Amino acid sequence: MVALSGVNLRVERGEFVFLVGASGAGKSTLLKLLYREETATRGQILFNGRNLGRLHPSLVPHVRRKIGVVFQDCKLLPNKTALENVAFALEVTGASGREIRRRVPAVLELVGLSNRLRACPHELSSGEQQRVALARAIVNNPAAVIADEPTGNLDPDTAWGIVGLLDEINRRGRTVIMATHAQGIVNRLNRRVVALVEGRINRDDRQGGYGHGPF
Amino acid sequence: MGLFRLFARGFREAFRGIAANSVLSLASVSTAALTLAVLAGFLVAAANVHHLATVVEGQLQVRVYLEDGLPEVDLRQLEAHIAGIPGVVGHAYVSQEEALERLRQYLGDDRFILEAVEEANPLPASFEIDVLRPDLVERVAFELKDQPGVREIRYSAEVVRRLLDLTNFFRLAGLAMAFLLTGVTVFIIANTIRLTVFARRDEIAIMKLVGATDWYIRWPFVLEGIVLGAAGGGVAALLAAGGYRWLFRFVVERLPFLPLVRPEPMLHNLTLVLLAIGALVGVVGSQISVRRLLEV
Repeated sequence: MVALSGVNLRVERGEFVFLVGASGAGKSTLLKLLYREETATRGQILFNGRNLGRLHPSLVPHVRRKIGVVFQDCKLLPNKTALENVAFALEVTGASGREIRRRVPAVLELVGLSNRLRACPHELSSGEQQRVALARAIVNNPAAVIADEPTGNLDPDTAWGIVGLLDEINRRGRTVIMATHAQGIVNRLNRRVVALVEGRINRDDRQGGYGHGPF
Repeated sequence: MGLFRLFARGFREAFRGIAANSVLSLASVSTAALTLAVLAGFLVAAANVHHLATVVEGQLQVRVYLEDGLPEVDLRQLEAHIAGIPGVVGHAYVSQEEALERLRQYLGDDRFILEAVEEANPLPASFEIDVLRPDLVERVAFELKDQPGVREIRYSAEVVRRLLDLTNFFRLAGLAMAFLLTGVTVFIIANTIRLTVFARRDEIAIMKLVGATDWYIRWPFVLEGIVLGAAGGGVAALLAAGGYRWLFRFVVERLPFLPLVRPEPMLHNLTLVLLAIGALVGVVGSQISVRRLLEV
């Protein structure tokens, strides 16, 4: 089965891109190719000029540190606190204890969770959990943040809060690529929109909306 | 990252894994201990047979035991005769006192056994004759058989050959058993660690996602394998050491002339070997269980 074909996409540093399309259109596959969870059978994917398909396996972790990833289901460790979940991402990359103590509270403050540091995921709301996941994604100071339907489980207000944070992250100079179904968000933010239909790019608008097209 | 922190974290995680699967971990250690103890048994047997062979081979050339109270004149005459036999490259006279002293040295801590015989030394004096080639041994022995003053002649080329065959058998059998049993141990350790890996699959997925290196993720599991395997090796070494010390005392007390390898330093080396093999088995086992799950 071919998930994607003939896709030609260039995202500049510092851009905010919405990736839209029906379920099964290939949004997640495209994102997985970007953070090297999958490799393309043909063609090439360049990140910072580096061909991810030809990347030596030992270098994959180093590329991943430059790409923060957020999922619909957060993927937090249930038995760790918010603080520990975020610190975990720094620990495994070998950051020093001092650096962890400095940076973790700072990013949690950025996502508005300063008062929830010691809470475990089950004590947090869905929106708060997603904020922790966002904090974890950016704590390594990545060049890009990839979000795969980060608002899929959230009510509109909470969802808007998350998107606002992604917008803020983007304003601070990071590239953000977000796959989503949420028409309201795409239309209101008025950023670049790439639409996938059956594994091909159907539309790529510099400032677009979602819902007026052929969907 | 500091090497110390890496080690500390590795051990912490490894022991967490072992504690979480305590029953299976115990099974792993027991299996490793049993298989390594069997291996130790073969190694000790091979070492002893080989030791016996070298002892016999050393005595081999030809040993001529003399009648007690042989006059000095006869002794000189016999010695001259020995020196003149073709194929004899050296000879040494061992007096009764020297023979007793050698036995005393060999017995070491167990020399008290000799206290009863100090008064009347039962060991005969002898000539140790070095022969140029094994095939000349029988001729030398034949030449001396009927000489006056000769009580007994011992030579053992044939025995040595058989003992060395036996050594090889023990080594090969030990190796074959070791391969087979090690396979079983590797399998069980691999399964134990697979449980730990499975229990932490979410954690591993996140580690990969945020850019932990492969080695960083593997390290605790490899350590877990090393700890399990080496623990098995340690238990096997204790079993082997206890067993062999007992056997050694038993044999020395009842058959003091059977040349067994002394427990030290053999057991010391055996312990190191068992720990190393155990650790190696653990590494292999952990690699098997981790490899598939970590493919990025």
